[in-house]
Amino acid sequence: MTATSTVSRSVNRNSYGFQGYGFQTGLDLNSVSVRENSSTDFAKNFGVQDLRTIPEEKEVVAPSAGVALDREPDIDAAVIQLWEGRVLDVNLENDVMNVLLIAKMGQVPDHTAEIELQWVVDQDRDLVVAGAVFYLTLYKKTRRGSIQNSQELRFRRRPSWTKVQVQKVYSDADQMRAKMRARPIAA
Amino acid sequence: MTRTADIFGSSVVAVGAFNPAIFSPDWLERNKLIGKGDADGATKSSAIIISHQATVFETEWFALQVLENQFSLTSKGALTPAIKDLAVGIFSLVPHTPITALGLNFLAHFKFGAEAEYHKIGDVLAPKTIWDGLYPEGRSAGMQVLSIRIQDADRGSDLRTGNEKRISIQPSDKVRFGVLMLLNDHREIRGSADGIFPADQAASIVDSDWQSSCDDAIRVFDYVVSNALAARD
Repeated sequence: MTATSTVSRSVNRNSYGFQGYGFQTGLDLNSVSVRENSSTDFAKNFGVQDLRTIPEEKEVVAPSAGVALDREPDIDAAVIQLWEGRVLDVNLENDVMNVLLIAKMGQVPDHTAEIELQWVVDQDRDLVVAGAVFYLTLYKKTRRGSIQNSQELRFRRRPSWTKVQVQKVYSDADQMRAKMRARPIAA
Repeated sequence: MTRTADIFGSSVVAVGAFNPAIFSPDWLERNKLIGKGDADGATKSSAIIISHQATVFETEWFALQVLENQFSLTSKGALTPAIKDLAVGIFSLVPHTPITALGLNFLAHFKFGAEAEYHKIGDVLAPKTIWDGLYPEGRSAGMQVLSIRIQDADRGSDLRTGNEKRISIQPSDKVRFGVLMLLNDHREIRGSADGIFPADQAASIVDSDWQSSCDDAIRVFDYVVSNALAARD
């Protein structure tokens, strides 16, 4: 960490709340040595620092020169509203879907809407069927001083049921059925 | 939230013993957890590593890093609850993985209109009365990072569980005169409790608690920032 910045030099000592320099939360190598391996905290040490935790005796494949190991994931947007949506029906003629939107932030009543299918990315088009669940994020991004408002629509994907899971459902159902008794018929 | 974060993100981190090599974009696509576009984009990117020791790659909306002892799925760009579904899906596919702890993490950067507000947050949360006396001439004390643990017990009593929340605040490295707040909702996973495998337990926790944890993070961040700014000088 370098202790030089105009911020740190220009502030009045009496109103000095935070240090104004050197906070690279993702890249602060000093923090690596004190991090516990059992931590489930934010992956601050995303990248090269984590690789340093691998025991020395293990052989680590050297990353190619083009791989940027020391980058943090680019989290740069402010969420304005999040909705969970359910597709009610799809109108392919007009290229729209009618949906029910449930706000995930704040006290906003549920409402229905019509969304053009152009907002659905190609890889999700086959998921657009009645009953499908999606997420709609309205967000704000600040880039080079200008503010950009936009929205992102992403369909929920869940893995198919495994044979073991299906067997367990049948097994649970059998157990429940075994405990059931027919109610006596009222006279 | 009376104060809206300028940047908001989330990650799901699990501690355990993993086999990094299996967590490839291709594997996620084959199991229908991501689309072809995401898989192709990640595979063609130069920033991809898949090896026995580490898997690291990114798509437009998430970054995945799996080491032998840690799994980390982090949102990118605008946060979407699809990240929760992806974590649930991945854990469901590897139910026998011995996961010992799970973290639902949220971060927010708050930008302040004036430098004075930024310093007020630090001064209210970490008063400098003692520290300024150490080096009274020509030096200044500043808060670097403050972490608070909220444990599952009254003070002095035995912990009911190992679950806890860790809240941290520090200067933002992304917005000028801003602060970064982090909330780590840490959960312990018991080995095969009630016949449920550890990774299935992790999947169940993420599925049922991610949204409430997210709501709590928004509440906590707003509460701390708003109360610090409202405090008397």
